[in-house]
Amino acid sequence: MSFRSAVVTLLGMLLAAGGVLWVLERQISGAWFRLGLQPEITAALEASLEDQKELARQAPERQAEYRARFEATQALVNHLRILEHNRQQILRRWELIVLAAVGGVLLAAGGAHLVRQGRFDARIERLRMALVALSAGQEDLEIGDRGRDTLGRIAGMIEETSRAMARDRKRLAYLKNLSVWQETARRHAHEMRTPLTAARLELERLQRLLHGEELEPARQVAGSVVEELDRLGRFTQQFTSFARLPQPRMQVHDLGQVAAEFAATFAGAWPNLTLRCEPQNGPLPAAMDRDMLRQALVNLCDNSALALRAEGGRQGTVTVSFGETHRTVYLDVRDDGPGIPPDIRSRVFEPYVTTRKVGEGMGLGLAISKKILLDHEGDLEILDSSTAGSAFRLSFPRRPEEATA
Amino acid sequence: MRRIHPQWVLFLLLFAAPLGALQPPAIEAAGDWLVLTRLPPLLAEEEVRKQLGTGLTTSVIFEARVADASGRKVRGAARVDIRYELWDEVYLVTRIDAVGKAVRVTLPSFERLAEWWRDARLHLVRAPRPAGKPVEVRLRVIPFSQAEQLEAQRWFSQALSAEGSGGAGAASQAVEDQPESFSQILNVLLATSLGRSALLEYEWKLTVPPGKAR
Repeated sequence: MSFRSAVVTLLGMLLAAGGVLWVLERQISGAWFRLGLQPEITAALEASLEDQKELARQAPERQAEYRARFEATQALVNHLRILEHNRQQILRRWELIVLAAVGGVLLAAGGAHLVRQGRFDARIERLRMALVALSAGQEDLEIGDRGRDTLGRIAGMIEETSRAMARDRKRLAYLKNLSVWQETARRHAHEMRTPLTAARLELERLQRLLHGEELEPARQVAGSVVEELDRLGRFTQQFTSFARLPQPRMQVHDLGQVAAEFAATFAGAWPNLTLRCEPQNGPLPAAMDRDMLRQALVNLCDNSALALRAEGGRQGTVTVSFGETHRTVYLDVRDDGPGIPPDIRSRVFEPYVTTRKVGEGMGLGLAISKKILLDHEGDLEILDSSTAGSAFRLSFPRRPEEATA
Repeated sequence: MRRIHPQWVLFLLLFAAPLGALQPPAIEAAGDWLVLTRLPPLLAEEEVRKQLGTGLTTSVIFEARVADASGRKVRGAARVDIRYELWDEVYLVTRIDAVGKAVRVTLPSFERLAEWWRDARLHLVRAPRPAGKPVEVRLRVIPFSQAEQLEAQRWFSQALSAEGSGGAGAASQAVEDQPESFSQILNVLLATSLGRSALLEYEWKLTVPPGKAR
């Protein structure tokens, strides 16, 4: 409803209410006046005046008494006559007062309604603009309507939808990019595996053909080449693993329990790393592939251990803690290593991005871990990273029956 | 010749007038004054007679406006207050004209009042050389005096106040249960609404007879 039509409607309501009130009020107050100024009352009082006079004539000794009563009654009659003379004027004023009071109340109520309507329209307009922006693909909308009513809740839903859309877009973009890399890795692995295998077989045959002490140096060279081919094979295997990440087989597990088991199982896996698991407040059930989550945790701990080794082999600690939001349950993995260099922090989840020297790693661990969490409808994010350490959050969607709102 | 009874003459004088418009008074110059004579037969008006019988003070106010020789508007007024004393059954008449002198008379009957009215001469306005222009005369009949109005207001105020149960009696009881603010509203309403609007009003343009004008 436009502001003008709201005003017209309000004025119409005011006129109608005022008219009805005026008619009713006129009937009521007019009736009261008629009742109070009944001619019979005045006539009775006038008759009593005559009675007083007659009484005075019959009992002259009490004349003063009767005269006093006479004058009192006459004053009363005079007051009624003066009231009668001003009846219309009083009624008009009274109607004016009532109409003004009721009109004031109605106007105040109407004004409040108009203000409320204006605010309501403004909020509706903000929602409309937000929906337009949402349909245009704008992400992370902030409508700023924190009302607890329906509109406020709708605004919250639109904001949440825009955030979800932003998350999905990033996830899709990441997965799309990752799938390109996976396809590339798969092709490279495929192209490399066949000649590697052939070369290895030929070298082994060559080793068998080399007899005698004089050919020992040649045999050692062939052995070194076989070792290098093995190392190349392991790299090829990493390509294959990256290219053929399986889909998670979901089962509901308690996040804390899985992390505790991991900490216990892998307690001695990294000599320079101590694993610590903080106590959790309550069960945090999440649908997950436990083995894949374990692989993601191993990748994170691998990175921490390698970073600490690069710092001179000092000891470090990886701490796992837990938490939940209204939509997710998560575990935070925090180390006290040297942190991620700022120049690669934004690209750290891209494949082949690494700070290690050539031959020490391919930079696929975080990409694989991120892919695992995204396949769980969750995410892997950097919480913070500095020279005092890095923290990653592994989040899982809260199960529908566990969601709080 | 048969003698005409004066009561019949008076009756005819009083009751013939209402058949048409109220007969205007006459005006004449007397020295520097314009004097109103042959006052209109107001007492024959049914409303006035009825009002006089109530015992309230009925005020008859004459106001005059005339241009003097210099063209300046000059105003003047005269007032006759009539109150019928119900106990003693006499008419108390007070005449105050533009001269400023109040004359009080007590008249024992309506007939005597009518005679007094007929013979009354009211100095209305001091207007030397009225330039032959008509004198605008306005007559208003006010049904009660200001003192009676104030007394009635006081009585209503007492009746409407929660504490004033003394003189107002049942009237105050009737509003006793109302909130005080409501009583105050009613009080203000009555205080501002009780007025002395005219019961009757007439206006004439009278010409001063040329022979008598100075």
